[in-house]
Amino acid sequence: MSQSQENFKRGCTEILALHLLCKEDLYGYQITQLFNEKSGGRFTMLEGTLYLILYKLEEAGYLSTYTELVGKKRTRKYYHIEPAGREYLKKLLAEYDEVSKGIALILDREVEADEPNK
Amino acid sequence: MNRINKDIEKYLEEIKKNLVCSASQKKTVINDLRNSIYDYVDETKATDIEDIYSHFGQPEDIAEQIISEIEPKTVKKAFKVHKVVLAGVIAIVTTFIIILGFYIDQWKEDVDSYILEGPAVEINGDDQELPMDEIVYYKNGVIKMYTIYYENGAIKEQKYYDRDGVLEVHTIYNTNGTVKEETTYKKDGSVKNHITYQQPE
Repeated sequence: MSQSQENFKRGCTEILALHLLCKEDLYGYQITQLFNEKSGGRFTMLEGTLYLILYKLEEAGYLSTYTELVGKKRTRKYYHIEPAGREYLKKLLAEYDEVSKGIALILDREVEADEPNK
Repeated sequence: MNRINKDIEKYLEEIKKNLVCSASQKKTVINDLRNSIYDYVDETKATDIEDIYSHFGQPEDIAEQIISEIEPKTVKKAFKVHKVVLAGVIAIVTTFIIILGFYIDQWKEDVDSYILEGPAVEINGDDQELPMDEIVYYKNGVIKMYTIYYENGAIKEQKYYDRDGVLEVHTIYNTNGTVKEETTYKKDGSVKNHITYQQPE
């Protein structure tokens, strides 16, 4: 994976993690597995990197966490998206759509016609 | 299962060693990584640590990834704390070595550092000539011991002084070498104890 791909992925991780968490509460390993499965292996992320992003989202109040007992001794930390997180995701998706369209236009790719951004 | 548990903990220790961040952040990250690894092991039934390395990566790479996500000021702060702690440890160890060296010097002074003064001692087989008196000094020039002999060579009197030159013990001997009297003194020069020994008839 090239550095540019890594940088791009890092930027997308917040959106993707928040989106997945909109459907259900998930734990860290589960999120990385879903990234891999749903992207057909195109989007993989190291747990260490993901956790730092999740911590930032939690610190900002977009996510909360709780633990559940797994087996006899182990606990598992689940992430839950808060209302503020859903709002933040909406904002990120809007920005993502704008940027994607802008990039597509620059690359001379076809996009849906709409009002240009002022 | 126990074997891989130990290997996992060693793997996490390696990551921890390479991580530069606050202690609380380190603890949280390592705990979360531990959970992910055990989730992976539960799902895949992995029994070999190599599977962990394959899936999660080398400890140094993981640590580097994590550090690259941490804000630079947090990493700088962690480095600073690390340097301060290291400097503190070096300062304490250096101070300890200096103090230890001082005490070693003092000890050596007591053990092997007196200068003998008085008439020279000649030892020539059976022909021994002992000094009429003998003064032993501490290395700093203070008298340590003063000995007076009888003409027959037996000790007549002996005075023992402390490092400050204060008389500690004064012993008087009979001509046959047995102790006649012994006086011990306090630091202020007053008599602490005086013993007179009865002479056998």
